[in-house]
Amino acid sequence: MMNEQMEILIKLHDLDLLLKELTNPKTRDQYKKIGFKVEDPSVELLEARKNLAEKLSEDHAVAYERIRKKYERALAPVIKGFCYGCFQKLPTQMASESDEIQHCPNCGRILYWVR
Amino acid sequence: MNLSPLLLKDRINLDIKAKTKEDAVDELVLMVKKGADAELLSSTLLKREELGSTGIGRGIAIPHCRSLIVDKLEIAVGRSSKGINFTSIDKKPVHIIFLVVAPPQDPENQYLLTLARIVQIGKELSKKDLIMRPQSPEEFIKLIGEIEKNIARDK
Repeated sequence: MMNEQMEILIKLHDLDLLLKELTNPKTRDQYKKIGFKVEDPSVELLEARKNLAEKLSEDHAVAYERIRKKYERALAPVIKGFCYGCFQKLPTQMASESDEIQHCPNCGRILYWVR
Repeated sequence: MNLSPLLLKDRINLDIKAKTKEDAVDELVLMVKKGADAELLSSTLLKREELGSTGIGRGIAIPHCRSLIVDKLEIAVGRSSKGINFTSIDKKPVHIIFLVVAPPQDPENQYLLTLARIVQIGKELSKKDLIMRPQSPEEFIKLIGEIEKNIARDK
């Protein structure tokens, strides 16, 4: 069972990544060149992003925005025991089963254990 | 880069049941992930559709996104004989859907290269009226391999 706050954080992360890629002129052009239609985000989509962010607890919302400002992406996957944000090995006592939201002790990114 | 080696027969459904874009995305996502992960993926893929339909015309749709949920490029294929309204560029129903999900970190840009390759192959499938021909996932992978050989030969 995934922590509800973690689910929101992942949705927000993936949506922010999508918005960044499709509004950045360089990457937007790459998608168009491949043959995809790319439109500007609608008011409804930006509103959906805002509603999602408002579902986060204050602590997680502040952390998310602070880390995002520093690194662009606030969440990092954990693959084979490594934080894929800073590529440092995580302490073995950090467990994927934990229901708590955990941060990388080295870079501070919010960690997601890919299943 | 070739697409056929990336296709897995248990991720190809040549008779999807979905009648809408949303249901089609959900049906294909379930071949890649289950439970909460599937719900998260569908959510991002449908948000991508809000930024422009991935129905590229000629009966082809390529819903795609990057997501933290996956640690490698994941592809699923679905075919619908009846066709699905994907609000495509040419407004025609979609018969073949390639769903592509990539991890956020993708140093070799495999994701965009794969999307470009699928567009190229999709156009060949449509142009030569081959979408409905394969009768099994194995035949589908074989057909994609043959198209790729022809593309390489014609270069």
